[in-house]
Amino acid sequence: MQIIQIAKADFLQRVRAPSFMIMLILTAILSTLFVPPLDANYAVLTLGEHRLRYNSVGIGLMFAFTISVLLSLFAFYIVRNTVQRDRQTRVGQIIATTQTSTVTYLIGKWASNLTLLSANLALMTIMAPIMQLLRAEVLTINIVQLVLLIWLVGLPVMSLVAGVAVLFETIPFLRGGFGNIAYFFVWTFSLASLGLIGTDLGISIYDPFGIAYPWFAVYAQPNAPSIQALNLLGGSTRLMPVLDVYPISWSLPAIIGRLSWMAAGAGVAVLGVIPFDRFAKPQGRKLVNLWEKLFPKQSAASGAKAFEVSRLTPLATDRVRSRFLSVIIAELRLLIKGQPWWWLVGLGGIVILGLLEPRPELMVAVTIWPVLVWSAQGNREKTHDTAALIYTTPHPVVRQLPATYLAGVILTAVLMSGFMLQLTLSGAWLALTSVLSGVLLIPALALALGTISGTARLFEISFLIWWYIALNASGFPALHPMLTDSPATIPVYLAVTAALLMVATLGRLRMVVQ
Amino acid sequence: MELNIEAIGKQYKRGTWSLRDFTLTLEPGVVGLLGPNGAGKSTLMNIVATLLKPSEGRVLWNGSDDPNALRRDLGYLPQHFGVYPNLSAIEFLQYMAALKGISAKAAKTRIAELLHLVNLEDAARRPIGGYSGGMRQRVGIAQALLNDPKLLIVDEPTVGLDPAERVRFRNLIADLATDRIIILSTHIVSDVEATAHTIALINKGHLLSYNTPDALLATMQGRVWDLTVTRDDLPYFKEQYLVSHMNQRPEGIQLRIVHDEAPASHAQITHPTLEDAFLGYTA
Ligand SMILES: Nc1ncnc2c1ncn2[C@@H]1O[C@H](COP(=O)(O)OP(=O)(O)OP(=O)(O)O)[C@@H](O)[C@H]1O
Ligand SMILES: [Mg+2]
Repeated sequence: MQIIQIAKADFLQRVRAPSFMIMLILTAILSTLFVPPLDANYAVLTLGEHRLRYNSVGIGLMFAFTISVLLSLFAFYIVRNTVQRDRQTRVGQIIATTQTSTVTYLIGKWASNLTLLSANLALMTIMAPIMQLLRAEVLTINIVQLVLLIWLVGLPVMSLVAGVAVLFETIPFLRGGFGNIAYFFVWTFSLASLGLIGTDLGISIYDPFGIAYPWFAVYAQPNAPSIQALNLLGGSTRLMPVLDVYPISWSLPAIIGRLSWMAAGAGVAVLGVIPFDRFAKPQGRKLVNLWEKLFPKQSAASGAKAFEVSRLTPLATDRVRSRFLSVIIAELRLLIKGQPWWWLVGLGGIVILGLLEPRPELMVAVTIWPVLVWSAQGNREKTHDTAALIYTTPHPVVRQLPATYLAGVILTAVLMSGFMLQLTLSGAWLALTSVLSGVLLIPALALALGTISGTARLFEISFLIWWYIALNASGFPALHPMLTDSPATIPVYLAVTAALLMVATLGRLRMVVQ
Repeated sequence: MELNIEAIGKQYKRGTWSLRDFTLTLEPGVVGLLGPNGAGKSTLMNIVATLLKPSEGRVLWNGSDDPNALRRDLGYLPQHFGVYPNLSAIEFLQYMAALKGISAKAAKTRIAELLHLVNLEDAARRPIGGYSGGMRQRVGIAQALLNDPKLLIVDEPTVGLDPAERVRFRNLIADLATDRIIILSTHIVSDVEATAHTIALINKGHLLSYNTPDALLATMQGRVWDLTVTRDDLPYFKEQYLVSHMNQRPEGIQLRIVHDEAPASHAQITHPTLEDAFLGYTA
């Protein structure tokens, strides 16, 4: 069947990429952290003060929740660019001319995404009993409960993520970095809306994350403490009391509910037929045509007009030498060039905002504006396949890489210039130094993550998580250099910056012949 | 000005050797690298252009093996390369000029002249993302010439160019050849014929012959045959001999055969072409 062939080719291509192995290794490591030692002072799931007993149901619940709540975020970025890759490699243009229908193609891509993510679930299914035996609180393994929890909860969530990823790739403005940011908010809001679902077992089928049903089952246990907050990643300074969890019986409607969400994932992918352009010529087509109508190309005859190389102005040898400053300017122009006019207007607005309303939280909030500009750093040569041109110019490591970084620093400094001016005027030297360390830190993070991953996504998602946590964890200003003015954190931020720059340099050294 | 390629070998990830024991010394002029798909042409060029590290051997540019010394004098047009689609040709060339250490002022005139040279003046201010394949290729040619390179490496430069642009490019190479080393790879024999002073025939990672075109043709003298066969005999000849050309004729099918002895008693010796040499050496 065609769908299977499309999914298979796509899946093989991905499995053979090193990132697949990295994903599995990370999942294995995280799986061990999800089940901390018995005397640890944190737990992945807490009910009030209690942690769950490490029997198969408890571990199954912990794994199911982490899949549903956490993996649903990262999974999107893992499977993100399957359609985009076809576009880049021009496989898409070939497929587009075959008889494959768009629906078949999209479902094939969804299936490939889902298969890839299922590999993660499979690994976690293996890790779960291993962790149970390792922690050895309860030694009887109930494999049915484990499998049901991980797969009935996890698979439909992965299916939805797989579908949303395909859908995003068919919508032009969600195809790139903007989609990466948009998904973060889609995810945040969907999680937040979970709280709206009542505690009635019957309507828990409306829960796409699938965690309401098993959780209400735990609440309904006779030994459950009267309604208390469920927390992901709870902690306590004392030894946590343990809540015994009983096997969960999945009712038929609940199972059908989960299967419906599973199908809904494919449905979401198929929605892509409406916006999908089937790999028609990329952006700017209409504009170009219009341009060519307005300013018709000169005829071929004039194209063959005589020309001589000897007419080229010779370059004086002193004209060709190392000019660090002009490389910085060139990198800065490259950063700004692809941005639409309204982005620059927004940048100016932020500078003014910093002058008029110099509140730290506000300033951290607006750092989301240049995320896509930062995230292009360090991976641009890979993403746009210009490495062969760039890395054969003189000093790609000692000249071009620092210039790229400094261009990022300059942009960040401009962004914060209004704020920093206010801090200077009010003599808040400590806060100013801290903000400056942030100005150095953020572009270093972008450069390092971009260089080692070769994509923009790793920075985008890391930055968003950091940004979100820093803004919401009001008790911990030290999480962000623009929020804190504690002298102790500044050296830490500077050290992290230096380490990140080291990572970027090593990453670049690996790609360039010395 | 001298480029020494000394016993270069390249092995991709423990696989087979894509290039082995490759030695060549080049002086100003155009050398054509001629070889079938997968021969190792791009591998060799990537190594000389300092993009790829050889597994063994070294490249000396004027006696130095410092890659940055070579990069200063290098113009490189890779076989495959991307561009920044949001930039116009001018902006992209300005960026490359800065990386190559050319002052903004010198770059300005240089870019204008190069855009004229590759016939892109009309499109120069539009984003490259909307360019046709041949137009993009010409942006690549322009960036290779930005720093007036002493060593110009062009990998299948005429791919995607229309006949008029192809002729322009050949003339360009011929004009440039006077005081620099140009390495040009192709499997289009007529491109080499038009421009190359010397030809390096390469197959399966080995240098088969390095000669002037005339000397190369001389080695084929007496090994190229012309004969006309019937349609029924055709499969036999195609099976047994290396056929470099076929022509439909009223009296039968005219074949050009590369072989040390006469393939049939009525076969006539004919003048060899580079195409015959290419097939004779690499088949
Ligand atoms: N990145 C790579 N990884 C593994 N093998 C490679 C890689 N690049 C090239 N090869 C192998 O090296 C050999 C030579 O390839 P190369 O690209 O140099 O050939 P070429 O002469 O340029 O061919 P063409 O005319 O098709 O461009 C081929 O067998 C190819 O499979
Ligand atoms: Mg090649």
